[in-house]
Amino acid sequence: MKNSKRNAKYKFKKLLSNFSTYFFSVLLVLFCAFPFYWMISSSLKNSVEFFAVPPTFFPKSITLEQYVKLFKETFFTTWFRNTVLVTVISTILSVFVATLGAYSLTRGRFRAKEAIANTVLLTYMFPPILMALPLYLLLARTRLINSLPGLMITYLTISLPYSLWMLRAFFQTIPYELEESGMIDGATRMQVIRKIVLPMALPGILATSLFTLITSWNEYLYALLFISSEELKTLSVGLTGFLTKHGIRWDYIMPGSVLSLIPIFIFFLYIQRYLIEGWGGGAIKG
Amino acid sequence: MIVPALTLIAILMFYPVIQSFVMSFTKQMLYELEGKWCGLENYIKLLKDPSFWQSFKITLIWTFGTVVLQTILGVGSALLLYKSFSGRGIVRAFTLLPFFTPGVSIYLVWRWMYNDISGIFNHILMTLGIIKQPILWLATPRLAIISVILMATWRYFPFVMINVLARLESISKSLFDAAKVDGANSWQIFWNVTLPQIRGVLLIVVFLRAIWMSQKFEEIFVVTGGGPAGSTTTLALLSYEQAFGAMRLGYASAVNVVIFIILIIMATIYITTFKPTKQTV
Repeated sequence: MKNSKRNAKYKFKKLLSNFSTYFFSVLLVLFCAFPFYWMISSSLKNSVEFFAVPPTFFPKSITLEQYVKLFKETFFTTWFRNTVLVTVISTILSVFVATLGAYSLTRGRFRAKEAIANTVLLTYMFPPILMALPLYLLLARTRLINSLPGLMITYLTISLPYSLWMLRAFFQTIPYELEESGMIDGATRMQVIRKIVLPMALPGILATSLFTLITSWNEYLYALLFISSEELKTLSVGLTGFLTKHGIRWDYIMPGSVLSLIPIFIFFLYIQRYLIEGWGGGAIKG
Repeated sequence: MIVPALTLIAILMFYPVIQSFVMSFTKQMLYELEGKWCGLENYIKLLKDPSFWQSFKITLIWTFGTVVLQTILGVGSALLLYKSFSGRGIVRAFTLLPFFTPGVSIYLVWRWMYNDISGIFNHILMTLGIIKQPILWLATPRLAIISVILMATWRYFPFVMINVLARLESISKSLFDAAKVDGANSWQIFWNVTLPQIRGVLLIVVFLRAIWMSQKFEEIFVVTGGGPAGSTTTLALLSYEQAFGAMRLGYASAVNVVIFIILIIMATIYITTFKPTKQTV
């Protein structure tokens, strides 16, 4: 009798805790997802409903009108192409250089190793605003200002320390014994790297590339300062270009924002498992 | 093999920082390629400039506000998502989304939601009867800073969550079970078992957040542009305004040097205390 009473109390407690877990989870998801919902639903409204006062919570009619306008009336496709070009090339460049560097930072035997690792960590924390002004002058002197190659080079200041730091953490998880046994078997260092290290490091290099790509895709300040021609702008700068003195073109901004998120969402699906399993704070920056 | 990386870092990062130091002792306009030496003049002007001290104060408020709120929300959601329940994977994925979203795109959406006439926030609050008049979120000095702080909290709390979650998952479950057997309630378990366990990682995360938040630029620039009346102009925005608005490169460089000194102090404490090169976090 007494036992069943205690059991009922326990069950009730369990139910309550389950309920509160789901309640707060739903709240958390709503909190995180609402801006995305609002962005997508705004982008699908027609131009009259878009500016309706008060705003409609669910679009009454769904139309791609604003998307069509965005493609027809603005440089959106050019900006998209520019962003892809700049981020992909600068990512490949920095991950290549960083793979070499990170490998030697974890395996190399030189005295300054620790000091260099700390230096890399410090540069990883450098804010773009600190380097923007001198880089502007550097680009102006080398006549690389207002050009995509110039922008790619400056993106290295963000992506290189980032991928170096991430890959270093990744190489540390690969046991050195494997390489040693390879060398005992008579393989050269280069063979060991090609046959043993790289295949094992490949998933990490790929994930690092995606993280780096996302960081570069999100970049704003450099693209704002170093590019002035409309047809050389990146997505983020193009979108803020709709905030004009004469008014804000929200009807361009909403569909544009949606489209700028899509590639990132695809990458995100791939890398999100690394985030929980993973490398913790070393893997993300922002 | 580290040489190519170090060369690039030296040319693209160290050289610019050193140049900032040099430029902070000169008078130079944006359209000039060379500056004139002027000694400490920029720094003297800076220390006497009320707008510099105003920016300094705003940077402190901004950093403190965003870091505290992110930490509370991040730890809270980590504790929530640590328990296993069906659907947890989806909830986790959703909570990570804000962090990985292209910042500028989503800040613009927030600006649109804060809009006084067509914005959804005012509409919801008015429908619920909480407010009668639309609130001017971004046009009222005190509210503007709160608005951007809330937005930044939304975007950056997943960073805290993910790190705390990773730490929580490495704690052995028996520790919690033992506390439960001893009859501790949830609050006692949090205070006496969980918190001491996550203390280390929490300190690191708070430090990193403070370092990064203090230097943020587009979060504020895109939403308020530093206004109204300079009420959201942090040091990063002040540096931008001086360099590319007023075109005073020397003065802007002096602001940059202040930003750099703050960074170095925080980073040195971080590196010497936590020795991050020795661990993977």
